[in-house]
Amino acid sequence: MTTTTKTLTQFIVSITLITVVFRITLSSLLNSELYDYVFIPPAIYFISMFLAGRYFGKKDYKFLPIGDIGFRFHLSTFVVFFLVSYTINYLGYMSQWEPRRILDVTLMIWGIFLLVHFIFYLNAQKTTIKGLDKNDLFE
Amino acid sequence: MISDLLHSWEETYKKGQLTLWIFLSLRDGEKYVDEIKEFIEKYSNKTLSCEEQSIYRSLRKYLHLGIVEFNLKGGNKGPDRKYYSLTKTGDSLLDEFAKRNISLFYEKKILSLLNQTQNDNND
Repeated sequence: MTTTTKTLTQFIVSITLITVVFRITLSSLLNSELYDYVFIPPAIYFISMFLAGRYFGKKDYKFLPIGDIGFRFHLSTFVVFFLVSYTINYLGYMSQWEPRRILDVTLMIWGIFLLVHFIFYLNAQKTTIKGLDKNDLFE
Repeated sequence: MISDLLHSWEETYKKGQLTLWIFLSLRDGEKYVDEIKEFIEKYSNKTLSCEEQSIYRSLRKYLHLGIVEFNLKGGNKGPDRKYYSLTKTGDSLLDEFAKRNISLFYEKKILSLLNQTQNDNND
């Protein structure tokens, strides 16, 4: 069971913007052949995504302690990243150095990690009621 | 000595009481958070005080679990207030909890033991 909260929606909007900016700046640098600076967008992207996940994840847990071991945020990140990436690829805004094949391989590898996370998530659900930890329901 | 021991025991005893008091306040009638807080402090003889944030946090969980529901009603000033009430599930839950954990204090034997202690103290 996945639960959509206001904070999760805010997270999705934020990472969509971050991912669009990342994709465009990376492709622009590659198209401009500024190879020395190519490491910058992924580095900033990684840090931004980490901080967004940390900030919204903490806020979300404080609002409602859903015991999903971060699966909703992971799934959202996965969907947003590939939705944005494939859309930009489809629209032809990616550089020649970013072929569709790289996205496909990334999708498969990341998909395996997501699947493993899903198995742990299902296991964690055994100790919850409607997604909330049984030991943390009543005060 | 007794006072310190009592304080220490009560601190432990109070943990886990908030849910019961919130449910009791809602069985008394639908309430918004300030009224729940007032009810708890009044009827627990101020032995139990709670932060509004704790009540909000609990109510969000109970809403998610379908134990409570709310109606929006206009306040005196400002935005509408959420008036919380128990759902049928919440009502049944409180009934079962009381039956299993509270009613036993009204057993003849337990009542006599509690009264005996009280009498002893009076002597």
